[in-house]
Amino acid sequence: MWLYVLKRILMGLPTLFLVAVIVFALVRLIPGDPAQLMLGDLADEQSLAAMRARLGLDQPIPLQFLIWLGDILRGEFGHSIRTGEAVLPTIMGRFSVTASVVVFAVLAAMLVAAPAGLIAARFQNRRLDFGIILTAIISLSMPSFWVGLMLLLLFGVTLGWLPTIGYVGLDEDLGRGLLYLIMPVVALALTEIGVLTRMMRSSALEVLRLEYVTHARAKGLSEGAVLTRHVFRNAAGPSLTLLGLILASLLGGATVTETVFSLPGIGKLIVDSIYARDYPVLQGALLLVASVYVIVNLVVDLLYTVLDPRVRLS
Amino acid sequence: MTFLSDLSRRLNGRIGLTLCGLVLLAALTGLLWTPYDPVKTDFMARFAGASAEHLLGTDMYGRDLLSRVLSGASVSILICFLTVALAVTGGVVLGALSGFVGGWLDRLVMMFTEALMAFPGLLLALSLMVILGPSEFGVILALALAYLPSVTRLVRGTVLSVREKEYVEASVALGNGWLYTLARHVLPNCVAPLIVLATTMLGWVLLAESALSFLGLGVPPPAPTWGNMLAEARGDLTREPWLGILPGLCISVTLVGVNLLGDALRDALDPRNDRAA
Repeated sequence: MWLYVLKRILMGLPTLFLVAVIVFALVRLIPGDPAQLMLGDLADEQSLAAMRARLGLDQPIPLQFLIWLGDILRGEFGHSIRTGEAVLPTIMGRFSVTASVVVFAVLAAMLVAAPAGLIAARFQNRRLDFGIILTAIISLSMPSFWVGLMLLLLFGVTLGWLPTIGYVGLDEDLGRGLLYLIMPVVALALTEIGVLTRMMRSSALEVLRLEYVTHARAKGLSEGAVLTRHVFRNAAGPSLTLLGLILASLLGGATVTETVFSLPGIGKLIVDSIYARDYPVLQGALLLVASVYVIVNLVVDLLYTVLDPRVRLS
Repeated sequence: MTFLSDLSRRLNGRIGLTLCGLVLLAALTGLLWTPYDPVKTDFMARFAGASAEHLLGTDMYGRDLLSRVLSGASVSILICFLTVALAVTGGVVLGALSGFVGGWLDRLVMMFTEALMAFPGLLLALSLMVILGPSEFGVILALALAYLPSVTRLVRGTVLSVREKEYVEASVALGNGWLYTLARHVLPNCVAPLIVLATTMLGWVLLAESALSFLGLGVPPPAPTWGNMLAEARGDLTREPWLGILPGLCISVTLVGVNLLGDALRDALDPRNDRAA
């Protein structure tokens, strides 16, 4: 089994390398001269050339890539053009904001979706099932940034129950921090509740057909116990994989929701640094987001192996 | 035709077809005719409520909302179809070659798609939009590239699963060229799953296009799309919530239709589900 784990980790390395190539290429392809950007429009040709040399932009492209990769591997992500701050602490700080929103959203989605999917499957083709499916489809069809705007309008402006814009770190003030998180979490969770409910329902349906469910019922277990102990356990697999994918893509893809709520997360940082042409920050943030995706997927894969002996053996 | 009637026998298919049909009709109308010029401003009629002249009211520049919603539908739907067509074409070529030829080509293509998939589709498209500059064409290219990997993987998987089948070997043994064999005997197996994926992708693309336009990196104003209508309404939401509710409703209703249709297609094309639900 450890051999499998090792093999799986090694298989991730070429992907990570290609991810770095793509990030580098994307950022280099953005039109505009970073040296001009840093020195302003009035800079003369001589100081522009000096700045390019300092940034290493006068080197051939493949060499530039290798130098950049070397820096990254040593943990040197450079400094922001806009603020002059070191990139690594900035993106890590922003990432923790995104992570707190996303983790809450995914947890909330799972707590709602697992029972909803199980119940829908148990009452397949009945009215309750149709109701749950329809709700799931509607909830996954609403763009989270629109839901966010509507929540802001209703609970923030009209009713005034929740703070509209801004963010307070959970480590600064837990109570107020959570208050600021409620709406972004709900906006993000709503879509995922729909996705997960459908997945849970369809895998629960497959399990419900199996004989040991009939057996569990025959030996007199209550329906609730059958559902939680036998059906849920065996139907959770695909949802777990999906949960990993959702978690990984939300960590980078909550961009629009963060923009709506002015949350200082990694997605907002990426959009802001695109507008400001802040290449070092953009490069670092994109690299972080994509690496997190690869790593989370790897962890989910490995977890799957640990939880399900059948995968391990084959 | 039997396929269509099979679809409409299912409840989700019926609702999905109806909603998608309505959206297509709106898009077609928006392409040919709108009650007013969707970009013509009229400062005498700002924030007008629904009335006989303006059935859905007007926005902060006095533009007719019905015209903008219809015209926005045609812009968004056209982008969706072109994007999906481009992604499917590219993905079929790449996936078929990768699966059928195999070897180093396969390994290269797979590594590349895996790396591309590590980027959330929207972020990848966002970065590409900065390179390409905001325009309809840029949105199509950026989103097609972002969703290309899913098609490639699907086609490659299907090709791999039938490559060793007897009828494929028979075709090669008969002396048919590999390209002919691929097109005639292998690729038809991909059609059913591709239809399902393409339908789902229409939804993803609409969502991503709206998000890009919402962020100001998609279709540039004044040309209306539902996403940039929502973005423009942001500042005036407290004054006139309807400006924000309307475009979001359009996106949501379209997505409900597309998702239901996708589900129905999956049920109808899956040989394991013969009975109509």
